[in-house]
Amino acid sequence: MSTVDTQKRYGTGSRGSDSIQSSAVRFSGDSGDGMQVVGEMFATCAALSGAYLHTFPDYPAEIRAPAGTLPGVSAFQIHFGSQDVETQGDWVDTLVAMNPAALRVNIDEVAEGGLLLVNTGAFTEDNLSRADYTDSPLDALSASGRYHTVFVNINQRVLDALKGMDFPTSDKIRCKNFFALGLTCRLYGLSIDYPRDWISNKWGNKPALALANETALEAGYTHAEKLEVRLPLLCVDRALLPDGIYRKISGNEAMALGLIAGSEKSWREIVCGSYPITPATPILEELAQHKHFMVKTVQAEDEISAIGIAIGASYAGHLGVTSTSGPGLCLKSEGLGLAVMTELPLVVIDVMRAGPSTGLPTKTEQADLFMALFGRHGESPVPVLAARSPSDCFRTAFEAVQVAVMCRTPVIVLSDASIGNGSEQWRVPTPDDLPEIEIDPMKRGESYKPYERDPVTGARRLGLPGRPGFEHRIGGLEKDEKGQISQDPANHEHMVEMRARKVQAITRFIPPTEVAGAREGDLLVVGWGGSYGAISLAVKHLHRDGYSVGHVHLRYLHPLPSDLGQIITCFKNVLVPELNQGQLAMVLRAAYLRDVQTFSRMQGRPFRISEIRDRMETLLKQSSRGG
Amino acid sequence: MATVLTRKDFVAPVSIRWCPGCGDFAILNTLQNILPTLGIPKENIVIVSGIGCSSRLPYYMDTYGFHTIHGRAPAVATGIKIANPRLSVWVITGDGDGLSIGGNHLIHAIRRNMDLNILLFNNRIYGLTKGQYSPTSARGKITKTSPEGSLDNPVNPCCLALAAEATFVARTIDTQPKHMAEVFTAAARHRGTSFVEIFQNCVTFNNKAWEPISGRDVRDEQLLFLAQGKPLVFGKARNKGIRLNGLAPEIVPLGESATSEKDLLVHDAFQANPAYAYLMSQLSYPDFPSPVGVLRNIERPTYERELRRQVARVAQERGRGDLERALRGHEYWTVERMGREITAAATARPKLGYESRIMDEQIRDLIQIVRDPLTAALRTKLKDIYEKYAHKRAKRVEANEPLSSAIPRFKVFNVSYLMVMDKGKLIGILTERDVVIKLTLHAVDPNTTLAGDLMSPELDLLSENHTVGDAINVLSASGKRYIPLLLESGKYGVVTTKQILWFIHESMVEARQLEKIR
Ligand code: SF4
Repeated sequence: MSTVDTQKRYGTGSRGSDSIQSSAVRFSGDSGDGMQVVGEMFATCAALSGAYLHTFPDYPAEIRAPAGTLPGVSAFQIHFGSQDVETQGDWVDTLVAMNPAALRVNIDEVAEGGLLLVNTGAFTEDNLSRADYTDSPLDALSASGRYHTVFVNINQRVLDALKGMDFPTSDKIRCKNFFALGLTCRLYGLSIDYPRDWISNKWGNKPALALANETALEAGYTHAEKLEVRLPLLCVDRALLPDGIYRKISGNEAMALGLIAGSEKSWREIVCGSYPITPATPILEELAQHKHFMVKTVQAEDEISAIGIAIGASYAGHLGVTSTSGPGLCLKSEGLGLAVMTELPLVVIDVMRAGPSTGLPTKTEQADLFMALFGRHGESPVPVLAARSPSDCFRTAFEAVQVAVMCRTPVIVLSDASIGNGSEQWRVPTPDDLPEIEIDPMKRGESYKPYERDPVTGARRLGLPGRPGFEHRIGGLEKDEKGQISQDPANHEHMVEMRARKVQAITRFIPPTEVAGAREGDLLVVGWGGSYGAISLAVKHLHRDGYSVGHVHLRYLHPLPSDLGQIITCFKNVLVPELNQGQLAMVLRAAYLRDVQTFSRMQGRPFRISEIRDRMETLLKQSSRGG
Repeated sequence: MATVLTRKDFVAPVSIRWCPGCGDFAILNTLQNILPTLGIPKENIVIVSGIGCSSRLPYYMDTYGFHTIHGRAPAVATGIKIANPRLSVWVITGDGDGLSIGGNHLIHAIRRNMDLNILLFNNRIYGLTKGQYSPTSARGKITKTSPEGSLDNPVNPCCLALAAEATFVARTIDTQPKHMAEVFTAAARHRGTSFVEIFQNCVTFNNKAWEPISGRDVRDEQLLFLAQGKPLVFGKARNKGIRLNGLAPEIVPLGESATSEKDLLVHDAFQANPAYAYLMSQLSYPDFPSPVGVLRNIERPTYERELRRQVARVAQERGRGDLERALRGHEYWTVERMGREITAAATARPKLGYESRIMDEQIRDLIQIVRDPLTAALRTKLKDIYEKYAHKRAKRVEANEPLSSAIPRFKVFNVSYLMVMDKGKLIGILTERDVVIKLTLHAVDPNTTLAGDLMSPELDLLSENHTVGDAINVLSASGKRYIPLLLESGKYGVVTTKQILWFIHESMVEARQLEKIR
């Protein structure tokens, strides 16, 4: 049975075919309902229609919670449109809920006036009670007038469409995700050619299965016509996309590809020692898929061994890499200290999650900044870079390799759960766009002092095992320039300074800092990492509204860009929104002796644009009143 | 220009900081003595250590050396060996470093069977931190941190290594330089993790800890020297032996009236079953003499070799990684005219028939003109390709044999085509495809239909002197996948599309490498 709440407003076309700038769609259902698959596919359909894209999967923390329960809800959100899609969307514009639990978990995220597409077929008494509903909430929802509602008994529709096919009923119902996909595509006026191709490729050797899913897809698509709504119901603007080759890419994939590109351009094969940890594991998995780039991955016995293996590989002339999340970074501190002391290239990736300890292991946070900057004993400077978006992980990882290899230092790259798992469209660079990473290898017969430094970069040269004439000993003990153990007080102080200076010298590679919006004025918002989308849009909107607000987003958190101090002086106020209790703010205060405001959120989710904008407005009002 | 290395080449010009009389000196000496005898270039030797007295050793060796952090040497050594398997990597560790803080890494390096030589200096005490009980200290040991005696049961290092399925486990003593040298040499020769426990005396904090076993006056009775193929005999008068009673070992007197050597256990380090080595690891003071020598020495593939092999295989199957393709991924789309034209990669797939026709027309000219290495490769004679893949000779079937005898050959020889012969001459090719189509669609009877009836006849054979380009021409024009060759020897062969693709792929890799060299 399908009931359509035609809601007069559709008839009047107040939404109807009027185009909108962007829209956030969330597919949600039980973890066995295939929401991730159709979510990904809807994203591709949207991209192929010419939209910008940002997606975010929201998996349950449990691997398989009981079917139909609240912890078992799995969701996939797609934010797409012509512009301003740098975030996953503050609110959900269209919620596809395949069962009561999915409705309950996600309803609070749906924007007022948003569309609810509900599979009433799953609203059985059992499912309702699993989702803690005593009665069906559907009538109340449509009566509230808060949402547009499209209620379809998808289970029944799919059975009808697959009538006569030789499958058990339970298997037929499993095609319901494709029905929902077809229906949603039609409501948005998107072509279903892509999922159709995908289905026939995926189940090419099981034609019956392919046919069933394709039939369900098409049934959903045509079912929209029976809904008595104007089609397309929601029409999202197309973007003016620069020509090129595009793909969808997640932060973790981009990170792995950035490392591979760095490896190719520096002529160093990757050895990645890693230990599985949410949400960083996909980086190790992705690297393991790229053995034809001579990538060697080792799933180490623990985080400590993982970094040890990477250090050993770097010592022997390869590109040592290790990926982890916060708890793992704690365990790698000691290894990082060794890499600082022995001045070996090394890339450590931390895909941050909410902590401390196990915390919220699948949720995002930016609270590892202090750990990355300072989490080692002794004076132990390590360059720290942060990626701002899924596709930006590529460039950040590549630059991390550049810095590590050229300056012979460990580098920490910060990503987070939302950009690691999230994905967006990416205009694929060609390898020629990327610079070669040149180093100056020891030449045969040259005399070798392990800690002799390049006058410009301060980097030492590497005498690689296997090469005759450069035999030497390095290690955690302080050495003098010739590589001899030295307890000399003056030498230690000298070496501490040299290591700090070497890292500081990286500022010469950092391109001039970009300021978006106003270049001077009332308020500068400084951000880092995954909050880029929300901050940049909040600043963009307020700047458009006439406020003199600017935005700086830092890729280099250590060393800080040399022009940052100057930029900060051009603004009356500085605001730092962070998913922590003000870590970058504290660093900026210390570095520039400025009163920096903190805006902190620690709810395991990315910033919303609106909350940053509100905060900025408050500050702007306060300061205009004060001044 | 093989330079003969001597002990001197391995001595670093620094003063040694161990306590005078420390057992470490003897171990260092032995290592410096045997390394020049192994035939390994000095630059290929890397000594990796953790933290502790023993871990200072790399500084005293004039080789590559890495003094890492407490307990982590096996991990760092693993990275080194993976990056460069040609290196001879030695891990120097102690009882605290290797068995306490680094126990986990030790276990995992061993079970991976990394080709490392791990020398564990067991002095049963923490020396560098000035005398606290270690994981091998005896129960009840009184030290500064255990004034009432330690409560910990000691670790048995060889037993631990065996439990991690070590492929080489040995034990030796700092006071027996000759024995040490033999054991170290055997460890170096063994491929895979070689675990060597060395009874080492800490003269300062645990002096004479091994005295009850290896002391001059007791060692004949307390040490059991293992020799491959020899019965387990010990004692000053060599009058005692070890025999198995059920599953339990027992000491038996040897001599006229007593047990004969034939009844004794015979040492065999090469046994695949670890039970015997385990039994040896359990013989201990004061009930039994302590075995020294090689307890276990078996072969198993090493981790770094297998990893290299995987990498090579994937690179061969998929071709050396191409960055441009990797960045694009499997699913990409092209955007043209500012987003007005968007084409998904899947639908952008070119039509094959069209491509091959174009190729057919153009390739002949191209081959003549273009000088890039890849196109030049197309001028290679088929003879070379054929010889290169000669390991997979084409299989035959007689034209008058029924299908029922031809079909099993596809499976038995794991081929997808057969040469159809008639009176010693090749007259056609029979493919799996021919068979499947005819059998299913035309329902012919395999017992009565002859191979010659179903084959695709081959009239024009190429010779060995035709080029790869010619072959591609024929293949693309005919739509076939196999080209029969008439060899100069008068015999027949077949060149397949697969081989040509392989050849092109290899040429591309070569061309790319050439480019890089330039
Ligand atoms: S403390 Fe013991 S082990 Fe360390 S150097 Fe001195 S004698 Fe040797």
